[in-house]
Amino acid sequence: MKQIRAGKRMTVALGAALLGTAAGAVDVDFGVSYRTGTDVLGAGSLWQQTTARVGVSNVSVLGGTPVAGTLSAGVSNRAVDVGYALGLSLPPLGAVSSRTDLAVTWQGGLRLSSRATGTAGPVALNAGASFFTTSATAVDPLAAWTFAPTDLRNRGVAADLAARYRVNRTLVAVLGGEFGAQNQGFVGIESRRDLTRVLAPSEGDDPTLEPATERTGTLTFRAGARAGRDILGVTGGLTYATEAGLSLGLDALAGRGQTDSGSTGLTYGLTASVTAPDLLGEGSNLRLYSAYEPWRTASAPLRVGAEAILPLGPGELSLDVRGGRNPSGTAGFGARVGYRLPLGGSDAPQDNTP
Amino acid sequence: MKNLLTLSVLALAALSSGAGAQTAQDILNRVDSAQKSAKDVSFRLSGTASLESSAQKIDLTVKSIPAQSVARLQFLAPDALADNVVVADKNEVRQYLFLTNQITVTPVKKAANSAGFGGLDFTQLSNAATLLSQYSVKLLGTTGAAGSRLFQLEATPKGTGSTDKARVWITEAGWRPTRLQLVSSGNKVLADLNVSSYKVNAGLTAAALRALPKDAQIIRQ
Repeated sequence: MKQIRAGKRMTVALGAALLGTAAGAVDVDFGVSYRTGTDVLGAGSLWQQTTARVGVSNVSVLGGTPVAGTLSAGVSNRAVDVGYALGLSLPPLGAVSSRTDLAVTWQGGLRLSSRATGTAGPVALNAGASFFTTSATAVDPLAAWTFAPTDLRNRGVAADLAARYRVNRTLVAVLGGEFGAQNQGFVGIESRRDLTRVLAPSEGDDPTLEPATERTGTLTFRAGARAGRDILGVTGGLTYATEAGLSLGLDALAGRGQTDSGSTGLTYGLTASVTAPDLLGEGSNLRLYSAYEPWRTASAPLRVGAEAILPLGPGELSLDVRGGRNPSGTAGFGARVGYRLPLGGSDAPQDNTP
Repeated sequence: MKNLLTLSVLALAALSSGAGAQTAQDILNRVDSAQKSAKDVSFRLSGTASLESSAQKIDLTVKSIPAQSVARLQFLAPDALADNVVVADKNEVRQYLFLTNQITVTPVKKAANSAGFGGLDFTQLSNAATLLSQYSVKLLGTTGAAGSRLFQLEATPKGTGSTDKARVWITEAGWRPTRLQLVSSGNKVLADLNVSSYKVNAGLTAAALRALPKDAQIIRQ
């Protein structure tokens, strides 16, 4: 409790310093992570293998202006970070949102990334760009083993673009590319089948109308191709999701590219994830994932993780265990414990922003 | 689309008290008293609406718990909006976008300022009295035999200078709306929607109305 009060004071001080006033709901984030591995800077010392971060998020700034958004900021023993998110929602037609993050490590390395997404009716666009002079693991030591591949180069520029177009209710066409470490493009389709049950009509309804249905779950099929530097393959995938929130996903790639041994030849990739909300109590979320993608030349070829979020007291506790094999062939694993504490402003339940 | 939302709001609004001409008032009073015991209301709106120039198929379900100020709109058609969900309560408007599997969360204050609902306060969906006070309602005609008469009402927005009208058909059997029309100043029908699967006290819960896909990415705005 003492720690929480200290955190509150710190946040208020930080918020006041940043903005003059901190209005609305603000979250305070505490996180401690530890990872093994000899490729950590100064490996061997507990201090170097441990990362502690304290930050604030969801701070409303510039309220009432066209660029009203939310700010987040934090400091760890590795870096100082600040992020700014902007959004506009036009229900039911669509929404636009963007997010820009900057992190500067104590060694002077810099990582700047920006992402914008927009959805309007049947079209969605997602574009991201980043510039960095230090590796992702210099800021977050566990960054290499996330479900989505992380560009592990020490410096560079990267960009990605993905467009989704809803051809009809069940069919979505996908087109996109990744540029930077391993330039590539992908194209594909997604088809969804609803698992439904029919609802009983009420008295006096027009009998010629189609009966209303309720969804009990969905099956999504994916098929496509990926081509670019050191990769040419076909892709396929399947997701099963229930209305209760349980979601199982499996994706595969087969083609020609970098193999596990580092040579070029027939290769494959396999990613799988399970998401189970409320399994560890109401409001909790559990996700297990594994990804084996030796064809990616700039990311960890093997990534495995378990992530849990549990409501605890006024806030929520997060537990992450991740591991894998790095491009250099070394293996490692790490764990992170975090706590997000909402401070006043709103009595609405908080969400687990990924 | 905002016209469509106006209609769905009117459908709920027509369920309870209102103002206007005496005969229309009587009908609305009956609807109101039929609704007084309603803990929850749900119905389906289906038909066509002219978006820009072309007519589009519209199909959505509306669920509401007025006492808790929770309302949910779920689209089945057009294809571009199918499976999108909008949930509003006193604090925030949540929008689920099927195409990107994202949920946007907008505080009510911000949502009211943005153009999405064309100045219409979506959270008032469950506050019919407030809503109808902004409309003049009159009785256009009555058809059918006693016991199952159908009343046609017309609502005109007060004081906005708009000459767009909304027509609502109310059935005596159950005192509930069966059809909605939005008519432009040139007497062109912009939207024509049937009200079906109409239920009250179906045991809806606020949690069920708020439920959105749990694997969606959440974007706070």
